[in-house]
Amino acid sequence: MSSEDPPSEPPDESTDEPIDEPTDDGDPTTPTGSSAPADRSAPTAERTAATDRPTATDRPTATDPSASVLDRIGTRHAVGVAAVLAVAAGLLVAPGVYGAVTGPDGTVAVIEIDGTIDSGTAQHVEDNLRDARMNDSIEAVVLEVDSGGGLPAQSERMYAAVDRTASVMPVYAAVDTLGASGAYLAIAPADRIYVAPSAQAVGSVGVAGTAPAPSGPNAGTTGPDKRGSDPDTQRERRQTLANLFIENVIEQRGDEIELDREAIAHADAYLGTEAVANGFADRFGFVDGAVADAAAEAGMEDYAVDTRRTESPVPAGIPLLERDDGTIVVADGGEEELGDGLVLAVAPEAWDETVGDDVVMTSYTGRLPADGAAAETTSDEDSAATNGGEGA
Amino acid sequence: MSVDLRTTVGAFALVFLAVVGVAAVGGVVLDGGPPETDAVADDHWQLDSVEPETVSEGGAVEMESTEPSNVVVVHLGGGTTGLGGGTSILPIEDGDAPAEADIGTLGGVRRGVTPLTAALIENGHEVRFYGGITSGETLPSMLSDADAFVTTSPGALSATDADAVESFVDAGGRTLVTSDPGGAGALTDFGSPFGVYGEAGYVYDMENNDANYLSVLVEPTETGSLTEGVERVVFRGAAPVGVADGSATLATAETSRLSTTREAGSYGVAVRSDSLAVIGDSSFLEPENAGRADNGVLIGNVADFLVTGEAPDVSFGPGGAVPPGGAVPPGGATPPPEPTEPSGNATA
Repeated sequence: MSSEDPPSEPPDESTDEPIDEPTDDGDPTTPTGSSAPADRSAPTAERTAATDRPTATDRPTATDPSASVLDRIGTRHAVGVAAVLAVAAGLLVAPGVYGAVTGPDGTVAVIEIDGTIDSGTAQHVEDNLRDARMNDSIEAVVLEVDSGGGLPAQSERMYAAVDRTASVMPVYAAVDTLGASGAYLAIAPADRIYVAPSAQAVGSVGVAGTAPAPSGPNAGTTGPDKRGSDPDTQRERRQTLANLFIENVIEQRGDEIELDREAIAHADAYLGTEAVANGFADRFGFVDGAVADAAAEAGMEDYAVDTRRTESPVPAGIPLLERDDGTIVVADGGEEELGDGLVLAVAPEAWDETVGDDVVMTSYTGRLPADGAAAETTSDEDSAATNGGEGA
Repeated sequence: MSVDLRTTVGAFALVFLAVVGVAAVGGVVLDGGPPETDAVADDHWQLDSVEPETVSEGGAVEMESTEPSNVVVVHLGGGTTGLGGGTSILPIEDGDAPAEADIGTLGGVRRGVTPLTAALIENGHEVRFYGGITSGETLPSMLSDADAFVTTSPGALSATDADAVESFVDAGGRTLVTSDPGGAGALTDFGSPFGVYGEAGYVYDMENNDANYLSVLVEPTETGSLTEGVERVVFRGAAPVGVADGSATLATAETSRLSTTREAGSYGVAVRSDSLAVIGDSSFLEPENAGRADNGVLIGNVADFLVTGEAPDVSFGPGGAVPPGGAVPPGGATPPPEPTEPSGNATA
C-alpha cells in the first residue's frame, strides 16, 4: 500500500515533529514534549504509524528536493531489510540445496534371502522388491543370498518378483555359502549372480520328497486319492515340478549356463568356483562389490545403501521348536506339514535345516517299511553314533 | 481500506491458484507413476511344456503256455508284509550299513509278485511260498517237488538254501532270480556257478524314462522266449547284470548311465543262462507296474518260462536233507501235506 503513493510519503522524523503534534491521531493525552525524543530513538518502530499520519492528515505534498532525499533514505533501509530477510531465507533453504547437490543420487536396496524358503521369506522378498519398484529413490537391488531352498511355490513367487524388478532396474544377487535349489530358482532372473569362490551349493535344480508309494484303503476318506494319489501320478507330478524348475532356470539363464538340459537336471549343486565356470553364476564377488556394480549400472556415482534383513531368523511357515539345548527343530506338527505329497526344492546341504531331524523325510533313501522302521531307526542311530565317532 | 482488502484477497487467490496450478501441471507432466514392469513370462509354465513323458498304461499279463500244472516255489526274502505297508527296498550299495532307497512302489512280500502268481494260478499252476529257514518246510524239500523256483532276494537265501537252488538249476529246474540294485554281491555269489554276475550301482536315464530318472526303459536285445512280444518295459530301479558267454536279454537305452561311472551306454539288465533267468529289477512284477508299457507281456513270458519244459530231476540226498532236517525235523518229514497250505497263501 505504501508503495502505491510514494509522493505523499514523508516518513521521516525531521518533518514529523512540527506537523504531527496538533493533528495527532493517537492518544490526545500523550505529552507533546515526549513525542519528539521517542520518535527519534525508535524511528523504525514508529515507522508505520508515521507513514499513515501524513496520509491521514492529507498534508500538502512536500517539495521535490526533500522528497528525493527521503526516498533515497527509505530505499536504503528497504534494501537493507530485504538483504537481511534474504540472508535468513537463504540460510533456511541452503541446507536443503546443499543436501540435494551433495546427497546420493539414489539408493541401492540390499534384500536378504536367508534360510528355509517359506511364506515369510517370500513375503519379505516380494514386499521389499515391490517397494524398490515403487520408491523412486531406489534404483538398484542386491539380493544377499544364503539359503538352500524350501517350498517350490514360494521360491517361484520370489522368482517372479525378481524377474519383474529386473525389468526396471539392475538386480544383482550375491551368494555366500548356499544359493541352491529354491534359492537358486529365486535368483535365476537376476541380471547378474555373484558367488563366493568357496560357496558350497549353487544350483541344485531339482526337487525332492518321499518316494512315491501307494496308500492302503481307508474308510475315513471319500475317495481313493484323498490320502494321496497313486504312485505313478505322484511320480509324474514330482517330475512336473522338477521340469518347471528346470524350464525356469533355462528361461532365465539358458544362455549363460554351459551345461545341457540333462546336465542341469542332474540337480548337482556346484562350488562357487565351479558355478562361475559353468555359467550357473556370473562372477566372483560379495555383497559390497555387487552393490557398487549395481549402483554403477544404475548410473549412480553417489548412492545410499538400504539393507532389508529378514525380520526373524526363524522361518514362520514351518513350525519350529526350540529345544532346551538351544537347537531349533521342526515341531512334531511338522510331520503333518511336510506330508508325503509335499515336494521340496531343497539342496542336500540344507535338508536337515529344512525338515529337521525328527521328520522322517528320507529324501534320498526312500521311505522305510512300517514294520522295519523301528529296526532301521536303531541301526541308523548306531551308524550315526559310529559316524560321529569317526568324525570326532 | 475496502479496496485494498479486495486487491489483497485477489492477489492472494491469484498467486495461490498459480502455485497450485503449477504443481498440478508439473505433477501430471513429470510424474509417470511407478515404472512399467515387464510381465513374467509364463509360457513355459503351461502343463504341456512341463508334463513328463510317460509310457503307456493298461497292459495285461497273459500266458500262452498250455502246460499241465507245475509247482512254482516263490521265495521273497525277509521283507515285511502288510496291507499298504511295506515298500520294496532298494539298497543302493553293498556294505555293512547299506543306505536304502525306495524304488517307489508298494512292496509287501507277497503283494510284490501278485501279477506273476495270479497268472500262474489262473493257468492252472501251483504256487508255493517259501518264507526262509523259519518256514515249516525246508527249501530242498519244497524244491524236490517243484518245477520252477522264483526268488526276488537271492541274498536272503541261506547257504544251504543257495546250494539247494544251485542243484535245482543244475538239474534243469527253471529259476527266475530278480536282483535289485545293491544286491550285486549276493547275486554274484549266487550266480557265479552259472556265469552270472551283478554289477554295483544302478542304471538311470535322464532322457528316456517313465517320469523319473530311475524308471528306465528297457528293450530286448534279441528275440527269445522271455522277450517275445516285448517292445519295452519299465524298471523302477535297474541293476546291471551280466553273463559269461552271452549277451544280455534285456538292456537299457543308449542314453542311460551307470550310477557308479556316469558313463552313458546300454547296460544289460537281464540275462539268461540255460534254465536260470536273472533280471536286475523286481519292481516290474509289482501290481502298480505290471500294467506299464510291456511289463505285463514280460511277466507273462516269465510265467511261461517257469512252467514250460520237463520237470527237473533233482534229488537232495544227504546234502539237502540232513542240514535242514537237523534244524527242522518235522518240516523235512512232512513235505507231501504241505502243498495245500502255500497255495492257500497264494490266493490271500
